[in-house]
Amino acid sequence: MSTKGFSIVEETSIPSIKQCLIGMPDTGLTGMIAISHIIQSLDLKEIGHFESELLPPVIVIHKGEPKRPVRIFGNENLVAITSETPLNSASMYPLAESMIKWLNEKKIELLITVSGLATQNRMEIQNPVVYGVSTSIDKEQIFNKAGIRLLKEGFMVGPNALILKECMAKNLKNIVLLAQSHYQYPDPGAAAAAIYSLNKLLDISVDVQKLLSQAEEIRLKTRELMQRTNKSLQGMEKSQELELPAMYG
Amino acid sequence: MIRKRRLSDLIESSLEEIEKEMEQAIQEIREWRPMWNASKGTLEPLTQIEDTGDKIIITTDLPYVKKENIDLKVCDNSLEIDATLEQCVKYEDWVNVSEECEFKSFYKDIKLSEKIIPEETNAKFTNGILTVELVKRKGKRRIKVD
Repeated sequence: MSTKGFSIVEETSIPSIKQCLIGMPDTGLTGMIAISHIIQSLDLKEIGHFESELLPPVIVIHKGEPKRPVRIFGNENLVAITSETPLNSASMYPLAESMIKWLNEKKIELLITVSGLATQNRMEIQNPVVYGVSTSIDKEQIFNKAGIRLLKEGFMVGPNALILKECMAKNLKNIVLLAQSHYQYPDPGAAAAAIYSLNKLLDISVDVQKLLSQAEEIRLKTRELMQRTNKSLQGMEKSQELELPAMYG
Repeated sequence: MIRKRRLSDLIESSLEEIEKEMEQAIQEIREWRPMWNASKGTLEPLTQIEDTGDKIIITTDLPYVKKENIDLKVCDNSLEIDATLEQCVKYEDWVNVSEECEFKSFYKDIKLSEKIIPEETNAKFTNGILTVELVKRKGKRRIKVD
């Protein structure tokens, strides 16, 4: 499938997708860390990737194998999409558009994007709160069951905001999970909090103990990706998320 | 009213854009440096600097570090952070360095944009994040308006 400079290559074809998780490099790398852990824990197999001239000219090498940076994992029940490289603002619109077009064609029932919510005193918080935003009319009921707090006021900037906009336009059910997170430091603790919520939302059981035991190693080894992501986020005025919302309607 | 743009204007604006992109690329190349020093066995930590007016607050992410292994040195225009890792970090299949590489500590020397009072510096280490509060030297004099 191809849309405005982006094409999705399915290495293993799947006719439909029930649920999809997305975690891109963003605040605290929360979404990316969470989705990567879920892919490993549930042993989701690689089924495809995104191709575009708008993506950075990067190939990732894992265990001697060259890999595309934006890849799709999973099966008909659960698909997970993540990127190992930060995306610039020019690639985000067409990426979100092609992603949602593809998921719509696959008759997606629920799309969940995972990210971090920059929190100033994060280092003093032991159990990060997970906030939610959704296009669903019964969101408050869904969030209550999963212990997620409804985000009542604020801004969203970046890939999750664009995916949400596309879902609103296509009338698709999208939940955005935002775990309290460090703004510019990798945050495996926030990723673990998001996974707790996902376990309840999707009725899956992903163990976070391994993730928490590897937290220091993840923080150390993702410094450069975090640094690069921070630069890319500056380019899309991510700091607007830290602004006080105007108290109108 | 639709105004036709002259070819020379179009070329000029395109050249300006190309020039701007080239400047950005050159700036990135100038600023880029690796976040490690293999010969010294040090890693550069992620750091955020915030200017609150009367203070400069510097936070640093220090995984694998214990409070007692953080060595801070401060003078009136710089802060030096040297923090030994609890365990050495090895990179065995890494091709950017010729031999097996081992990192033992985090190191960063931060040049401050303003002079501070070293004696009034406070530091705390909470859940792996080091926060250093530096009090700015007040060099300004109040002037009476006649």
